[in-house]
Amino acid sequence: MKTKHVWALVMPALLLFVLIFLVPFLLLIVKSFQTYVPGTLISDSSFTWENYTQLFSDGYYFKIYYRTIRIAVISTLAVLVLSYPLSIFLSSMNAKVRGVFMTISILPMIGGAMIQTMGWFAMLMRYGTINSFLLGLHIIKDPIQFLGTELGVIIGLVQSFLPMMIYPLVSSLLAIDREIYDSARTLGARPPKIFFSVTIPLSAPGAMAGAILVFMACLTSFVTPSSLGQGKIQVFGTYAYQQAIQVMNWPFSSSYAIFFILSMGIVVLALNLLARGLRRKRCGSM
Amino acid sequence: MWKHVNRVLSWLILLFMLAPIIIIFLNSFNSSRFFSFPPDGFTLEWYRRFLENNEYRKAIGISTELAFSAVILALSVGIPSAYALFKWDSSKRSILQAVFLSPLMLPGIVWAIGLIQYYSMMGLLGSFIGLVCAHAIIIIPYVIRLVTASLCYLDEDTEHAARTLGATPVKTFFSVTLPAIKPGIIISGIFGFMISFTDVVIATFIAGSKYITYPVRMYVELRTEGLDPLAVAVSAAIMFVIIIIALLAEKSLSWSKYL
Repeated sequence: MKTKHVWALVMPALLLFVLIFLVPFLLLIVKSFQTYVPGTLISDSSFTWENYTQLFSDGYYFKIYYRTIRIAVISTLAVLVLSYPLSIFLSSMNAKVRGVFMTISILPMIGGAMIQTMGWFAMLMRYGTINSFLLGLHIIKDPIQFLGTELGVIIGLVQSFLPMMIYPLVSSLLAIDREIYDSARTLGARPPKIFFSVTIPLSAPGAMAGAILVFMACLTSFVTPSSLGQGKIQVFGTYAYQQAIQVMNWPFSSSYAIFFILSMGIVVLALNLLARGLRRKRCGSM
Repeated sequence: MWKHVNRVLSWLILLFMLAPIIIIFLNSFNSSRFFSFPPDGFTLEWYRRFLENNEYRKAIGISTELAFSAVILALSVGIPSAYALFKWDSSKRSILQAVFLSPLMLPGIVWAIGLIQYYSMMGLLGSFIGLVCAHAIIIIPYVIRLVTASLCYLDEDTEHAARTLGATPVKTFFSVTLPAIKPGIIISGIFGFMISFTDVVIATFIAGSKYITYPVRMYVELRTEGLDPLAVAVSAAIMFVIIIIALLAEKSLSWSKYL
């Protein structure tokens, strides 16, 4: 195809991307160096570093930062542990049945964050499903507090983002040559041994890809921590929302978002390089 | 033995993943307001109230209209781009593809903070067109990815044959290429619709007060008033439709292979 024609066909989408996607990001950078004038949406346009220095002046931001990362790490590890048994089960099915089950396991994502959150809310409430069940069986005396705790938020995040791990993991499990399992078995390896020395190393690239997606999604999640945390669990997403929508301090929320995304970008980049290393090592050893 | 252990574990994990959806369905028929377990009794009261409630019907109407418009916009700019990029032998191709896929990597909430400032400058904050454009941006990556995947299955010889037999490029596109990439178009359309229809983050940032979509309405209510059985019934009804569409898409197009 001629270059001229390509540009003509690409132009509408490109224009939309520049206007709606690229320009807002540039504006975010520009605004982060301006000064907030309380009560107005128009900021003082003179250049300042103040929004960034403010981030380091107060331990409060560090606390939010640390809590966000802690919740994301715990949730990602939980997703990793839970996704292996299910992914192995899914990859052992025949293609038709697997398709149906893969569709069922993506429902937490396509159903939307709101429906998942509402379901958890009904279950985790003070006298909700789980507490009334446990009270009814006399397992507990007083209702357990789930809402407004980190545990509640983590439960919600793990459930919502499991599909993100399952998809790449199943495809990397399916790519493993069946004969490797057969030879491992013939050589007398027991299933746990096969799992740790065949399945895990060979599916590590898929697991890593999934883990990066889940980690990013947890770091920047907003609906789950806000609804299940009930305003008590302040993380990056909820604090950014508070500053941008409730306080309307757009210059500060811009610098906050940029700082967060740049520092996380470095972590994710490092994880990506690690994932690439895993892939290379795997090919080198075979 | 290990196989059975793994199977039992898998079913438990699946139950955990689907627990919120199952609870939403069960509680939509629960006559107790407090989501007790076991349920107090069976009722269709919440569904009856849903049918009488104009607020929710209006919010669902807005969400449907928005999702439909965003998908149409995303497909009409996304399909030509995917096609052109696929046929283009240039090193610039991968750069442009990366640009169109970038909304998948960059977190929506960071973009939304930029978008709210930009829209307020342009007078687009709270406008319908603003919402449509924003949602189209998050749908386009899926259109590009899925249409490109279907193009990979297209036999280029068929296109050549059509051209040799005298078909114009436009006619070739509509009678050879388009039918071949139909699965990619339909799946990205359905998936895009669901993304737009269920989005909370982008919509809460830029929606304003005139076009309140149904998930935003639910979010605001849940945060301010707690859980309302009526909202549970609405969610159950919507989830039911989503499940049916997803299973049909799997049965007729095996969509899970593309996602």
